[in-house]
Amino acid sequence: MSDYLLFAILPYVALALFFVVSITRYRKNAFVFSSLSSQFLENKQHFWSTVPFHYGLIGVLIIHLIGLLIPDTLLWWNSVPARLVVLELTGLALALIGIVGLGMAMMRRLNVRTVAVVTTTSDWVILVMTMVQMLLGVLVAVNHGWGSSWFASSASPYLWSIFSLDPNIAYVAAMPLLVKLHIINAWLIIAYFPFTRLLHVLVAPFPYLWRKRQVVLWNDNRKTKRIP
Amino acid sequence: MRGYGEIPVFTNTSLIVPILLLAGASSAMAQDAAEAQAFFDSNCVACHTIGGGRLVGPDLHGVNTRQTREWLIDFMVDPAKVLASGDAYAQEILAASNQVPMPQLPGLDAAMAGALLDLIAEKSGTPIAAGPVEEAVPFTAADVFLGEELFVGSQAFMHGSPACISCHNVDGVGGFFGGGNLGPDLTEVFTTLNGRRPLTAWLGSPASDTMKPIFADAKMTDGEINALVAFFDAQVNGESAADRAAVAGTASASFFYSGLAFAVLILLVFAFLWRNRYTATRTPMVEASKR
Repeated sequence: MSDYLLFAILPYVALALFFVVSITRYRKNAFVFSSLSSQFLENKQHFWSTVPFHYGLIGVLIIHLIGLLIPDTLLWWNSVPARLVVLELTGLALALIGIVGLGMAMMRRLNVRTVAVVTTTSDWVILVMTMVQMLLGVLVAVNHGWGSSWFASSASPYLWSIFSLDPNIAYVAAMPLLVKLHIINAWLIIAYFPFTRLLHVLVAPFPYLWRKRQVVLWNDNRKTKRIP
Repeated sequence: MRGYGEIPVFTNTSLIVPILLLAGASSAMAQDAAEAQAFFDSNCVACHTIGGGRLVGPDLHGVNTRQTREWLIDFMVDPAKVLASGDAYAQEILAASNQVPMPQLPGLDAAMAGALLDLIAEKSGTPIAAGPVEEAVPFTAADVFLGEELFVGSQAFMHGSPACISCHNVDGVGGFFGGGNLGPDLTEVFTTLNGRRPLTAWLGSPASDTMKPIFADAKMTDGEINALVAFFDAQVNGESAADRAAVAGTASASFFYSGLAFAVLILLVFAFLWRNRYTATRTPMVEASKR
């Protein structure tokens, strides 16, 4: 029964909140639809938090997405043990640098006064939730290895059963506790997502990746005025 | 529900069934019997026969006479609970099954358990036919080879079942880190599941909670099962069993440390790639502003 609640009801509550609140907030107050930058307030620790965190998290998310969208291709890739190990080690390493980055981000928000001032409660909640999720992911990867393969054959059909409005919890009901916690926390993050700085994911300026270069010119005499 | 609790158990069904048929009361029961048969075929045959001999679990021929109906239903509905209670007969069954406990099966409630017991009672009415024992074709080296390929995934299953190595380890197979460990280690599964025939039956309809939903739509073919059983047999009885690598099991710790080393490497690459960050514009500007 509790399995049904956590793996069949919670997902729909989470998805409903995600879509309804995101859309409502965007329509009512598009300016909150971002994350408050703290880059100008502190710049040295910032690099070692944001860069490893984003590369790590996005990399791991892409691997999850591949398992969800093209599970057969993933299983084909994994059909040679050496390739499976390469993928698993890449995922684990990305998760670990993500954790390093997130840990740095948390320390920075605690220790740098200027950043602490602009940090809200929801920032802390989502930081902790994300940290828990990444630690659980690493524990799953290490304790129940080769998840890239069993994700494709167990988690993927479960998620599709949710998306096709015909939830089948049999795939996950028998999973070990760590895996279950990882799934439950994922739904909780999706539910809480629209109330947090994570909203910036939905409005990420992807065109920056392919827009033309911009050349920045200074009109003042840099030789005498700016450069020591 | 279906009220099987109130229906007395008839052991002599050869007499009773025609009477019920005449009375025209059989349609509901026939439907339940068909349901029970379907349930039995997709859930129970992995470990049990009715009169065909022991597989992983006991032969169910005449099981109605071994325990009270109440005990049997309790056990079928929640085997773990009865086992945990320390029940002597349950422990006896567990020991006879190489400590492989009966799983709790989704959909097996008291009503279905009753219907199954009726079905078993009906089938137990006919004496066991002492037919000719089927001569098993000995495994070949090709079977073992194909089995290993199926296990690691280099040979795909015909109906798309995932490779065993995703969740299972067999010592010395699948490279340095070995197989997965979501499911149990299968190095000695040939012995644990009681040999060729039970293991073959088990793979024909995997009964564990995790495998069941996956393999319901992706059954392995008889040829694939035969190859896998040959492979598992070779792990225990083959030549490779003796000189198996000393490093056994899934190497979780070395996997973690390898990942950690990889992570440090990535961070070093970041430090190198971005070694000149801000030196073109920002640092000089900040320095200049301080003067």
